[in-house]
Amino acid sequence: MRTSINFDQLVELATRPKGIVMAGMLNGDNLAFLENFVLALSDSVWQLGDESDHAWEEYHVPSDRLPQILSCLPDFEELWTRSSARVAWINRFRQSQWIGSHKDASGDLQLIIGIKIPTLNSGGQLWLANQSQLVPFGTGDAFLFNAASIVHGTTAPLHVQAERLTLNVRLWFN
Amino acid sequence: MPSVAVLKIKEIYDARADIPFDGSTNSQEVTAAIDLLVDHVPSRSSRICDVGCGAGWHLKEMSRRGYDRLFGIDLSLTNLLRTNLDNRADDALLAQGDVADWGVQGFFDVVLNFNSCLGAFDRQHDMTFLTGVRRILRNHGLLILTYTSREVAEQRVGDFRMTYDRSSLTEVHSTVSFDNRLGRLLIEQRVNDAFLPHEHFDVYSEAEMQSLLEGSGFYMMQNLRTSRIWVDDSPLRFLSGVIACKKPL
Repeated sequence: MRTSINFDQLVELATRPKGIVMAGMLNGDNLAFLENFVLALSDSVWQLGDESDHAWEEYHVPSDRLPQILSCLPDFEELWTRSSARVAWINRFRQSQWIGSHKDASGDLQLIIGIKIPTLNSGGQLWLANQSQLVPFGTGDAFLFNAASIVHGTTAPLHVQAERLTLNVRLWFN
Repeated sequence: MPSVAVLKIKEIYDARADIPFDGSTNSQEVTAAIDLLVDHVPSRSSRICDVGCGAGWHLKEMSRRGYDRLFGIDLSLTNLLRTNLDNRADDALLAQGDVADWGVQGFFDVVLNFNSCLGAFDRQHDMTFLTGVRRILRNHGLLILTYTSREVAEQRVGDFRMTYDRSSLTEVHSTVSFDNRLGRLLIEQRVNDAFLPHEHFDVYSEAEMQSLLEGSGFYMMQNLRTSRIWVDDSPLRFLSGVIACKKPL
């Protein structure tokens, strides 16, 4: 457990035009759990993120596995308990894979958790509005924002070792 | 787990949510601090992170001066919520947490730490903090830090009160004393009768600060005590400053 988080304050900050980064939300054990969870997935469960030639890979977390995954993030428990619905998926961006400028189709808030984020010089960075506005978001950090209203995308990892791996949780509150 | 020191800072700042707060600050101090930045960081596209950004006063001033890649991190969500007062820090991307835990590496060109809490707790806390700052800076990135040095504080032993210039609602009462047992200067501060986190602020001399920074992977570029931040008859007299540069591994 990190330090207590006031849910109302968190949501107010997350719904501002640039969202909010929460530094160091995953402790070592929970980060290792998520890394191992991803490593244990067979190749067949990954789907292409879109039909482009730079498509990334996605794994949609089944509803029966979701509680186990979310238990890695005890500080966000109120997000799960107060939301009316939530879905989660894992994104994997390898060398030269990226997602372009877009807004998500739905959801009131989106939480991105960095399982493995390259350093700045290795690419694989999240940006808002345009590629000059990179989000300072690294391994173990969280970023909470309104993905349905904020334009965002990623840059491509620049080499083979620079993999970008994130857990994404979309939340609805109505 | 966050350190005891970090938890204490967060707890006290969060508790300050109940303190009447008019959104003002000492604009002269903010202006002087950002003058330092302008002098040393001319590029307006530099990625600048204000560590301990509080309610965003410095971020707003930087935005006014044309810097457009601004970031702020603070332990307290309560503080960060106040950044929307006066449309303050609208241009900044904010983060909550301890810089020592931040997963970002080599991201920022410049890190600012104005009115640093260095010296408020123990040496281990200060080393951990500076290790975190070093990690988020790019190689040869700049750390601009202002703090209360022993040399400055020694000249102000005694009590004084300062009312922030835009409103009489916020008053800082500082007591500077010499602790014979510890052989150290102590600074106790209250804002509107609520204690600031560093209730007893065990100050570094400028030589000790230099040693701390060099031991944490920085090299000193400039000591700023004689620069414009040293202004007579204002609270700025409490501040020394340093500009340090991250040594690459």
